[in-house]
Amino acid sequence: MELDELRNSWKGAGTDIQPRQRSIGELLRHQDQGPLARLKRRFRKSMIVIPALALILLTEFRHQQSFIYTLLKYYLLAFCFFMELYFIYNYRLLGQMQEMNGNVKETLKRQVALLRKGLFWRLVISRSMVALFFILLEMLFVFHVDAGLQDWHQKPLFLRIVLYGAFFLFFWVLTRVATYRRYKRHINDLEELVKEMDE
Amino acid sequence: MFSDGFVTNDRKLRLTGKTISLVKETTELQFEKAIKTHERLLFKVCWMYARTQTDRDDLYQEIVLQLWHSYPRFRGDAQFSTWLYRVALNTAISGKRRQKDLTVSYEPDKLPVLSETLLPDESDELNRLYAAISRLNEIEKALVMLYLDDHSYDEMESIMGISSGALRVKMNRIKEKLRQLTKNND
Repeated sequence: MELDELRNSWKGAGTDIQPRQRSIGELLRHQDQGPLARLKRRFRKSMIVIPALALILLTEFRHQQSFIYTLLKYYLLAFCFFMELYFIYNYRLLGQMQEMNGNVKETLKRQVALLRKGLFWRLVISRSMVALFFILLEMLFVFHVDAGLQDWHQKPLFLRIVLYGAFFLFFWVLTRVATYRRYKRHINDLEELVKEMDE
Repeated sequence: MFSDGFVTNDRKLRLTGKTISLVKETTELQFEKAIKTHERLLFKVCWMYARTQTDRDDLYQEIVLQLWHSYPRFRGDAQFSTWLYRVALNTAISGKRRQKDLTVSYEPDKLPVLSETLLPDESDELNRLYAAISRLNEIEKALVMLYLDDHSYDEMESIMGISSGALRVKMNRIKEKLRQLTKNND
């Protein structure tokens, strides 16, 4: 049978393949239960939780004047700040991804670009936080702070750098594998479709 | 005097609130009516892109919510069905990450209704053709759907964003691919 012969049968199709939930009014009343709405809610919650966490940290560390606590406080505050930026960015990204009025090719291209950008910042932030943590450890040594890390700081600088590098490499690969499994494969699939449309 | 002004403002606010909710209700009813008219189109998209009944239900919900979200920006410069197809296909294609195995997205017992004029042998062939279509990729599926729904190449271009010349070439390739796939299914 040829594709053209399927036309009549296809035109009559529809009633037997309908979804169980057909009431549009009902769906609209429960629009906060959709997957995107759930994701948006999660981001909104995180956007509220992060400043609250930063406030708790500031309150907890307000009487601690030692260098280690000050350093730790600023590290955690920087972490909160970047996480907050990340959640705001993702929230806006999700809003942009919901724009689907354009044609399929244009929308797919835009989605791929947005997803790539989102993924790039996710990796930059997570890797920067690890690098910042290593810098923090070394600063404790430079400023002769007693933070219970004497054993670590007694090791030769070269060895420390090698170990930092090894851990960073491990983290790099881990985040790469994790993002590939969660996002990159999907982005690659979408890119394949775009390429096919360009052919 | 202050009190009078306050009451007037309050009444104005209440009236504005009522007007807004009335406009919202009217828009919702308009939207519902428009979707109802084209619901078969949505069912077909769900059938084509989702594997199980649960997936189909989820995709239908997702498409309807996406349409509702995009509805205020529908300016009427395209036909309603063209816009509907655009949003539905965009939602289905970009949401494909949730389905792991897309090559088996066909259930023999859930095929679209068959024409009563078909002979038993023909319905077998039809099943094979549906099985072959389910093995196409997302873009090819969309093209087949638009083709089967009798859309002109210009309309297909407006929905897909592929030039009509390229669409003609692609449709010929798809037909050939389907021929091969149905042969292999024999």
